[in-house]
Amino acid sequence: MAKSALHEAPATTRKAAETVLSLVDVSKTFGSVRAVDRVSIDVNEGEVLTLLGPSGCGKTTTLRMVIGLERCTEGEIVYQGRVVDSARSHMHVPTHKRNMGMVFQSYAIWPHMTVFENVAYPLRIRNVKGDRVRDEVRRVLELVGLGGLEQRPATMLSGGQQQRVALARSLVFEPKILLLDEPFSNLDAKLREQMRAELRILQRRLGITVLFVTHDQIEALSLSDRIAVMNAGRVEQIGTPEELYLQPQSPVVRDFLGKTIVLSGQVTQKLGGRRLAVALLTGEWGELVAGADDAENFDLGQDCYLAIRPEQVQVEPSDGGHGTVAMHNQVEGVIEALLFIGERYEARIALPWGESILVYLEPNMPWQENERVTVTFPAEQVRVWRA
Amino acid sequence: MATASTTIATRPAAPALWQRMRPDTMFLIGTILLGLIGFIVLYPIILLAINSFNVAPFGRAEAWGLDNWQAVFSQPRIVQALKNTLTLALVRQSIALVIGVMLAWILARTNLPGRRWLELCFWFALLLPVLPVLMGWILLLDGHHGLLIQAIRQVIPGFSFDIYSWWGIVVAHLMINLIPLKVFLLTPAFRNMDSSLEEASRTAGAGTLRTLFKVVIPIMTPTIAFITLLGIIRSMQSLEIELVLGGAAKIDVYSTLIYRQVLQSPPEYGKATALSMVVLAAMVPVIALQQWMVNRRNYTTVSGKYTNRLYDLGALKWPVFGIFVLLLAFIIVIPVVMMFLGTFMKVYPQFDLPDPWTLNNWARIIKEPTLIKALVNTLTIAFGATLLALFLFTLVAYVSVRTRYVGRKPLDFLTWLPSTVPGIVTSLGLLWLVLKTPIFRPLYGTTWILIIALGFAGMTLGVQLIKSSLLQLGAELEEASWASGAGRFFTLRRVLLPLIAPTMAVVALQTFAAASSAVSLVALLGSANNKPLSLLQLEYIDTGLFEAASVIGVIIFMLSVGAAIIARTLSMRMGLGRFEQANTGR
Repeated sequence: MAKSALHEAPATTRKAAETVLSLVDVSKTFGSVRAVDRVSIDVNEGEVLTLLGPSGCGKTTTLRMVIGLERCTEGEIVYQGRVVDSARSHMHVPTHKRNMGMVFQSYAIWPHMTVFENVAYPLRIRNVKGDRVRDEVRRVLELVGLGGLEQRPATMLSGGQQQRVALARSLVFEPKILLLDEPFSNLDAKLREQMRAELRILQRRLGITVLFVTHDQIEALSLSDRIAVMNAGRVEQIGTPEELYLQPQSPVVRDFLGKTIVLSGQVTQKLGGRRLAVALLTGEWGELVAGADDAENFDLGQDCYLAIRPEQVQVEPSDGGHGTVAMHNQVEGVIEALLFIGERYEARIALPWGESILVYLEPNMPWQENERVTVTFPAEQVRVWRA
Repeated sequence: MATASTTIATRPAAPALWQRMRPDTMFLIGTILLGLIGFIVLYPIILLAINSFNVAPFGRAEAWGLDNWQAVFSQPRIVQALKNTLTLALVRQSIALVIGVMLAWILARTNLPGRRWLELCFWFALLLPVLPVLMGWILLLDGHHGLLIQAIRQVIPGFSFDIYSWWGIVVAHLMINLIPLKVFLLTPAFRNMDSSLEEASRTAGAGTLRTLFKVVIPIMTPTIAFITLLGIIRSMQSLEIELVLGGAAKIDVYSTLIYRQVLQSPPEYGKATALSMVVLAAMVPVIALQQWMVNRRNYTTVSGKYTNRLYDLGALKWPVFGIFVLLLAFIIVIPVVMMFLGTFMKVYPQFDLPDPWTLNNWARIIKEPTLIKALVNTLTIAFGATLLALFLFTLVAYVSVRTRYVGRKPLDFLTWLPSTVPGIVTSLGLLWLVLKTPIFRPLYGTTWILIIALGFAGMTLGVQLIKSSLLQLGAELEEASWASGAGRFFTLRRVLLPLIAPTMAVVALQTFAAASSAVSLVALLGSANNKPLSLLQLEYIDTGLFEAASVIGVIIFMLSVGAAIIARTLSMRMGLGRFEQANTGR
């Protein structure tokens, strides 16, 4: 504890990924429901790994198994080289012996204690004595920006302050890993952004390993070194935020991270390399050129989907002209609805075959509703998915 | 992308056998609780069932037969007592329900001035000891000398009412505990009802009364039915009012009959036991119905998200307030004042003597050699029962709310039983227990057996109160403590108990008040050695020494009030109460 995690970690000493926590084929069944299904994740030292998914996807259950509030029904969990939960050998280290820090969704600040008493609690359990307790608590409160509030009753804290106390309490005993269960969901939007940035800075300074659970893709993308997208109890994909956003491996990941425009089509031609020509199913509007990693594995005539992010769609005022997509992946459309949301416009554009898509428009142009526009789907951004 | 390659090398050997065999502490505690409560609650009943077939006279070798049961169904006095039990219970419960629903609705759903304080007064009324307050009522409603009777006669000459009568018993029950209890139970239920349901009805054009009958009462029906059921069950607990008021009017109920059969000499244990079993058997469908309602009761009306807009009483505000104050004056103030006055009377309840006042009653009681002993006994029993109850109820509530112990359901069921078994039956059952089980015989005539009887008695309400206050605490408060490194018991002591301290104070206070004034539960277990004040008072009343009895009543009353003050002070110093000063200062 002498070389404390509260002291800043010099960036240079960060070693190549050492595994702090491993989940090996972990499953959890409640009755007949398989809440978590053969999840395997390694959390490396110093990284922020996020479990991201919609509610009910098993991410919180996974976190609760890591801290020991639930037992896994299959597989095992290894923390710092020690099996802490194993379905096979009936090994189970109870929560209070795991030495992991955790910030709960509700913060769980004990209302009958002061800020000091809340934060000192884990130290008292570890038999830290008088002056040491005061020093450690003061240091960690300074760290989370609550210096001087030691004697404040916990009931007289704002939401953001409560969260800082919860953070201080989970850091004060210098755990190797910090678990965060939707820590920002009870804050208002502005505070949420501020706390997100502060948490990122704090994590970088301490170099602490973080396992973070959230359903908010913005939080996940902005805070994580790696993200594990979960769905229906399973891990769909693990990777860096950029990998997941740009190269989603499954429709679930694609649709959960960011917005996606999806069009139905049929493969008509292989253009070599990663490129395919796809006919839109909605009529004789021509073909789009799109890409797929395994383009050669598609069959001609195969049903497929075309997916593109709205921000990758290019929209320009129409110069009149073509009514089909035949040329350069371009099509004529009409702006149906135009919403100004500050840094940009959100527009629904009706395509000639009746479908509408949501795209983003630059704010510094005089867009009008009912205006005719040219919509371009850049071939290198459109991905082909199997139907 | 995630691999397990690094973990295989570091996996330690399988845990030692003792680690795998080590029983879960919570399982152990749950099972001990289940066994203990099961034994204390069920075993006496089993003994009663067996011994109801024992027809041998007291002190002789056992002989088996059906004579006791035949007597219950054929002796006119017993049959009449059962009839009285039923009719008295039904009449007073119906009246109490109607009054209770009205009062509770007004307290919970209207802008009545001072409604919080008025509600608190009803709760306080429940803490008052029954016998002492009853003595106050006798001074008011005695057929010849009662002050209230005489006052009414000034207005209506020829008016006649006597508290020593069938209707007298009903009135005493209503005023002393039924109305306060109904208000106490119904008001929170009405308060938690979503007022938008009412408002929707008014918007649809229904008036206040129509809304009350077409919307409010139907929605509240499950709750009202449940409370009615509790009321009927509780009616069976009653002994002292019937004993005092029914004696002169020769009105027996089953509990007074059991009391007399056991305490007469020679005692008729056989008939008393069979009578107990008949009543208990009659309760079985009621208990089943109650359990069914407990299990299907949904708490949708108590969801966290509701609006509670109050109905404006308008010009009726102050008249209704006046009615409440008058009612509470009759429930609390007047009987208590009368109770104090009674201790200074030469002849109870004759105010019309030339010089009715004296200090002799106090002088006499203070010289009474058994008084100090009885006072010590009462304090021992009340404190003992309170400690036992707090310890037991907290553990039971914790196990059933916060653990996954497999026996939670049976444990929960057992906690409902003490309130469904009539006190006098429990008393008789425990008497059998200590008389017939050699290892428990040393308990006979000790304060221990009374502590056990009274500690378990309030289990139903006590466990429910603690459970609901535990349920209000988010599970994360506890989990955060575990995550901080604290074990279950440290967490219980440092996090949960301080947070539920106010509820525990209420439970402690109720147990203490009930134990210090208990009659029916201890009636058959008392002896010269362990006799508490309440039994001493009952003996005085039974032998007609009302003046002395009223002095003891005042002492018991003071104990309850003292306990209330201590409980309030303690709960203010613990848990959240610490910060109350700071909060109001903000």
